[in-house]
Amino acid sequence: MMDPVDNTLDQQDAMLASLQSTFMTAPFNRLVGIEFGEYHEDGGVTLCLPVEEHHQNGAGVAHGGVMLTLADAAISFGIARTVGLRCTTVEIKINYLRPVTGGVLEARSHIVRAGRRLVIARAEVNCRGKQVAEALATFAVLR
Amino acid sequence: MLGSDRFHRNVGVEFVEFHGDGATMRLRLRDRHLDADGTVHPGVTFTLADSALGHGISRALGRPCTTAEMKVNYLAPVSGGILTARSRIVRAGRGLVVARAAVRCGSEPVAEALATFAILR
Repeated sequence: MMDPVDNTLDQQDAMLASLQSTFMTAPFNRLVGIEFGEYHEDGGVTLCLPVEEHHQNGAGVAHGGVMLTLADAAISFGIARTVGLRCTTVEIKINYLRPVTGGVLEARSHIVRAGRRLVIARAEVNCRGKQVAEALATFAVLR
Repeated sequence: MLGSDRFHRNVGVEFVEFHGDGATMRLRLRDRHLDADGTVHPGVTFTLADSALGHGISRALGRPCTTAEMKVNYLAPVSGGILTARSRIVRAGRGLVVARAAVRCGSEPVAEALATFAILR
């Protein structure tokens, strides 16, 4: 007979795999080139992005929209994983701390507070061991 | 500057016009702009607003600038059509510029952005 605990874990793994596939195959995430990084025990997620020439703006540094897209995806994934409900970004704010000329961007999300209607979460974006951006977002839980 | 922005070209952002206090940019929505839920990815709307702000500010002031901080409120989900972003300078100081941008899909307001740009020397 199958162990019920293992069964539950298998189901959780399957749901997480399905969620990961949904995020990693979302058209714009693919266009930008977002890659999966790792899961964290607190519910957060790390997503990565190797910076390429097509991410640059006219000044030759990574476009702010690239960091925002990566941060939003990491936050959205973290919330979907933690809250388990469909959520949508209602507000996001990002501070740019340093220009990015190359390397791999890593966005790590943290769930600050998950309410019934709104979820507040943040993400820090690092590159080559230094923080390059900080994002704070409000997501609405869809019913 | 407009033509050399590879990320804009990759996303499909197009320049429409400059105004005295900002700029208008647009984006014809395609499947590649969608998120997992089938609506436009927040990063797309953000990128369009940021481009209208950055180009509008640097043109109005005649100086290059960079986004220091930006916040976007998403007002309605969209999944197709043409997005238009119109930026306006709220206050231009010596080192920092505060500006906002309204993003619409047709006549429907889709997002509102408020940003702080740093003027580069």
